[in-house]
Amino acid sequence: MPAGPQPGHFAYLLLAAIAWVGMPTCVRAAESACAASRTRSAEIEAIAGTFLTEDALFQGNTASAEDSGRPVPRMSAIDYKRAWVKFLLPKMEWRDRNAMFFTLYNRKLPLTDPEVLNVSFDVYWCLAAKGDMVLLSQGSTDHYTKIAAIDRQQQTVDLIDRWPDILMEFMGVAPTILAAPSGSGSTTGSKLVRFSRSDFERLFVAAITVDGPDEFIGSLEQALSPEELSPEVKIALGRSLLYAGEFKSFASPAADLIIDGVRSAGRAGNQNLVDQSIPAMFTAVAVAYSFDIMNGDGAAAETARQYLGSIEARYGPEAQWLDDEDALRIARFALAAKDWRTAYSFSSQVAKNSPGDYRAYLLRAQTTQQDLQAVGASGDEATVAATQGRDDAETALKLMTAREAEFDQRRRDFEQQKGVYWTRGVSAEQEDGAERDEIKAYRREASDLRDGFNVLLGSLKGTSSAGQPQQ
Amino acid sequence: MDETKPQDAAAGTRWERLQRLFQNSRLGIAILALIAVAAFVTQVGDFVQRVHDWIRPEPAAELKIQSNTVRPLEKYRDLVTASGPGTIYPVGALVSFAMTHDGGGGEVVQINSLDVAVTSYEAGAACPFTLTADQIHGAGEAPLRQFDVLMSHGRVEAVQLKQDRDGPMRRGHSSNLLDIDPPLPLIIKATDDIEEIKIAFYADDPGRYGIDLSVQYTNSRGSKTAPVASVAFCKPQ
Repeated sequence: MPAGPQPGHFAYLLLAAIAWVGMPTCVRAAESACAASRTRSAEIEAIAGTFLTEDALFQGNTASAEDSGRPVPRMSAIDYKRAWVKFLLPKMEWRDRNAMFFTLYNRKLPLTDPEVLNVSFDVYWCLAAKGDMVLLSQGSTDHYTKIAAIDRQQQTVDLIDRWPDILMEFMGVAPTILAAPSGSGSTTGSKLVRFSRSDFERLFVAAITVDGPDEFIGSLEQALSPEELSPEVKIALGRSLLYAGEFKSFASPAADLIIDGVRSAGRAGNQNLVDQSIPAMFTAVAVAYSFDIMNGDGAAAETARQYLGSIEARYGPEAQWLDDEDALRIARFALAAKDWRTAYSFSSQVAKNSPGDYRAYLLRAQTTQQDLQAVGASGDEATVAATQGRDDAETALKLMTAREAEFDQRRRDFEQQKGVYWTRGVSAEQEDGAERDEIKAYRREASDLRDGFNVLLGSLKGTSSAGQPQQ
Repeated sequence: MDETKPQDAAAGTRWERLQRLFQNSRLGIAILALIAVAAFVTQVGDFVQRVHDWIRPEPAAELKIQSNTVRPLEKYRDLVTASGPGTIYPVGALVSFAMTHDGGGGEVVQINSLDVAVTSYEAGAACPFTLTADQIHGAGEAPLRQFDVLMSHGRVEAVQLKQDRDGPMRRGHSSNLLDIDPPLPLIIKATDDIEEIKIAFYADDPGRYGIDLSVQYTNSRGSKTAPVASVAFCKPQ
């Protein structure tokens, strides 16, 4: 057999060369497929960075539910997002008023909640960003953790956790431990756990990410293929914008997305999705209507008003199918838009459905007060309205006291190892803490309203008796 | 000296009278015959017992598998309406059983292996359910004293077990679940010594698995195998 190179050897060499050249190209291709990945504002990046600070500070020094014998909180990612909207968002949005959360789930393990964006892992890989809280699951280990860094070139993701050892307990994957390099901000020197993209894919279930609405939607639309932009995804995106915060809503784009999703669902014959989405669509259009009024856009407001009318014409009066949270949201934005009639109507609806909800009475008292102030209070009608306003303020005060007593009871229950703080953990306490802070402010407001109505009633009475004919 | 003969004259006289009484008498013959038969029976019974013991020794301690149950994984529990032999569990299944033995107090049964045999595997098979993440929550640490078995491509890919929170994670990759590092010796020492075993199987890849679980053990007579459970589970695409 000749010793020189054979034609087959050249073929192998050629293949090896192609593979060698081609491999980095593939890596670059993977990166370029995510070239349109997240571009967040510096403020949003700063907010995302703060999410990692606590994990770095308390790494290895935090008691877990298992330590204290508490049950592990049975909270999905959307439950956490809704809790964060109450207690975390108000503390961080001073950096960027547009900051909000989006909740994504792996399409292979979707969540049935309609606000969740169920997308493929490939899509999330392109959207994943520092500060995202991710839910990983394999075998018996399900665990929330956070992304400290992501390197799409090297196809790795670094996770930071208060209990990094838990991340080493997933089966069938090969994570490595490293220290966060200098220049990693508050996490510098902290223990990180690095997963390859493929290992991360095996574990990924869900993520909560922070961003501005336009930036995130732009990234998502680029990451999704047209067929992935399903009616469910459009509606979920719309709901995310609509329920961005307790007092924050990107209602116009939310309404557009939900209407678009509902129409697509209707065309596809998915009547369940249509029916399920009508209350959110109504709420989005109603809140958008308030924004149109605030912005002085009469034409848009009229279009929205007609749309609301057509929804009710088709599905019946909203009072029959709108839930209290949506009704309160509509009332709040209507009050801000000085649309007293809408605010009064929807807060009354909530007061009727949930007579124990202080928010409804406070809103109605605020509405009455602003209405009377705007139109000028006089006559019997004003007296009736002021009496109602005073009663609402007093009811709100009583209900706030009852609500605070409820929080106290929850704390006592916790000490006896039961109740919502015991089962839902720190998030429930933080949610209630945020509401307790709100109640403090509301209490002052409700007291002022009650006193103001009393003064007004006194003056109306004085005016009335002064105007009476002498016997 | 004749030892059967009393030595004093009075006893000799009585002895002679007794001899005369028994000599050639039927009563005497009958009594002697009875004594001889009794002595024979006693000897034969002892001999039979010795033969019996030689042929059939004391039974060795046998492993008893008790309370074996198969349940769905907690996070997919809602997808299973009825558990039974024909059930295909979503993603995996939780098998639990107890081992004890039926021998005497000094008997010992050594557990050699917990064997997982894949009896059927169909990659990418359609499953009779659709998964959601509705019951997946951040549950933190995995349960203690439970074998977690990850199945992939028709075989056991990984096994792990943690006995104590501060103890080591024992890991393996074998279809013998006891082939883990650090090792876990399992010995059933007494009849009231009960070893409870929990094994959670998980399919990592989409497909349908059928598996048999058995225990191989050794008693004083050698090795034996005890079947535990047959389980089928499926993971959708």
